[in-house]
Amino acid sequence: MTPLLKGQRLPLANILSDSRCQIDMAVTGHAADFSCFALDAADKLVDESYMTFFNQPASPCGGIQFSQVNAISSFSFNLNVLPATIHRLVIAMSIDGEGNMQAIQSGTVVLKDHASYAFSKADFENEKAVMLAELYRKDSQWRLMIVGQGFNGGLDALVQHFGGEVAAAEPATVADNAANEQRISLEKRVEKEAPQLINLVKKATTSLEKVGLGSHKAKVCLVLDISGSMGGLYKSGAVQKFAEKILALGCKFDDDGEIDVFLFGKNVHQPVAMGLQNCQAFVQQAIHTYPLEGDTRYGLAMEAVRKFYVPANNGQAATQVSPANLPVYVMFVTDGSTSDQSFTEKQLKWASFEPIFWQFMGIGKGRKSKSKKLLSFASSDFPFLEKLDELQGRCIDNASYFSVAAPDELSDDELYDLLMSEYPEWIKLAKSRGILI
Amino acid sequence: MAISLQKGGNVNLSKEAPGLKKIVIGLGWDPRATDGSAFDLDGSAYLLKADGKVRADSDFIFYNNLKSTDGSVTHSGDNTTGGGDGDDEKVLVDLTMVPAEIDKIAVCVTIHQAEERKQNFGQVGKAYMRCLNGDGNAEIARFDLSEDGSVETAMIFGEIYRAGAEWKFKAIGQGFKGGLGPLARSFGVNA
Repeated sequence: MTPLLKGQRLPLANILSDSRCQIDMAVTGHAADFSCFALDAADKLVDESYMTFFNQPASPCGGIQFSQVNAISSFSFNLNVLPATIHRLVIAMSIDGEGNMQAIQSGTVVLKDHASYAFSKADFENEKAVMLAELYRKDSQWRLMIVGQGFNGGLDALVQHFGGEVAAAEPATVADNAANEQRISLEKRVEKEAPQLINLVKKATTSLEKVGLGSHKAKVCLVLDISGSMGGLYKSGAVQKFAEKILALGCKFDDDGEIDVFLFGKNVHQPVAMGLQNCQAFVQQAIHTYPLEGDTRYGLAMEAVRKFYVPANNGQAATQVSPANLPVYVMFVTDGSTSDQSFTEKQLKWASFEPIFWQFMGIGKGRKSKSKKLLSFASSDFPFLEKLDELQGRCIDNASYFSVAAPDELSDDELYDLLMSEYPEWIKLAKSRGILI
Repeated sequence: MAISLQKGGNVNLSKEAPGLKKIVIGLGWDPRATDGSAFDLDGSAYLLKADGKVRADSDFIFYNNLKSTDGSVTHSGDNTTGGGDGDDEKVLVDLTMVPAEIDKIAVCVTIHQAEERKQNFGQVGKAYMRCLNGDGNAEIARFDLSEDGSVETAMIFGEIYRAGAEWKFKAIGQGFKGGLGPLARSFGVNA
């Protein structure tokens, strides 16, 4: 093994017995992603399909392959099959999430069986994405060079460096890829920890992508009515199933894969996080902790939700916007009317200045039902919710409402489509009024 | 026609370019595109006697001493980033003005604060040093510093030396351990 220094060049012709070689990368101290960019003679990315990383593990020509075994990431190259337009293959490392190269301890780049480069945080400053090494053509032979330079601006800056005229478009691609990466890693977690949710997450994804919210981020909150009349739905497991559907939505919106669940009846209880690991019997356990109660108070629950997400307003009257980066999507589930109507109206008006969107779902019969059979009923179990949906005196329309005969009346696709029927519009309004930044 | 010199190779300037009067040594590199301290390459020249030493400190031509007292060697001035087109720094040698006691002129390149900035030529994009005929700018010799001197931080690029009544250029391309100060001292400068 020849030790290599930053800046050092190594002609490969005398080292490799054929056109194949493998480069292994590892880093300790902080998670990082490795990618390989194929550049043309002008040092520009030949095209997006030639950015090889775990979510796109092979180049179209097959000459670049990514693999990962435990802590070691590897690129395998077959240099002979690369298109002649490719002059340079840059192996980059980007720090996952927050932090920069100062968050790592040490790392290695190894040209398998031949040479290695060891680095540590002392070799870097505040770069968030670095070029570790590159293979390049020189006088029609390939050489390896240790680069060890990068950008504080992370992958975006790196791609811009490779991008030229596509500079404006490329960062978006990288952002999408980053979102994809996040999604992939969450999907991996779902697969491992809660495989029953995989299909739901996929369906939620489809509905979100339809309305352009494929990489949207939001906190997801589920508010569940625990009034006595809900007993049957809890017992049958219908509420549990519904909660899982909302958790799947939360997995899409929220990278931590958790949703906050509030239970309310006569009282309202501090939220419990429902996540991939505790989702299986979550509702049953929650109901065990907080048995069904004898009243239904929407307003009380809304006040608690507001206090939790917008502590500055403390659930009190609000007449000015509370700007925030991250919106809160509240799924509010009830099977009856509330006993604190005027307080509820006030809460919804005040909340209209806050970055919270309220999606109400009534379980029973109502005019806003997707089911035609139920639509034909003249009476509704939810006249108040219907009124709430159209409530005047709000900063912006911050609520949507629909009813179902049963929590599982709608197919998953229909449910997710319905959950996204007014939310995208609210995001636009909230942005225009400075509620969302 | 330019002659491609290998390390150690030499060319008889007077034969290649009869009547040659001036030589231009060009140094060029790409500005740093990544984040971090700029790459600052410095060209320098030394008027040396037959013993390989300067007559006085004034024979050390660099960014703080742009012209030799006799006027034979001139430095174009310091470029601290590599920005701009063409050669980033130039050293001009007027052979007709070189005093008789000067046997050769060594031309070198160093990286400013290489150690502190943890830099070497290999990290610098498209770094080169070349020797041109001052009349018509034909290239006589060229070194690709990034490729051939990648882990070096200082290099003796070449020597312009007398061979009887003629002038020759020898491509040395030899790395030197240490920065500009130690390099200058090795030529007898009291820097």
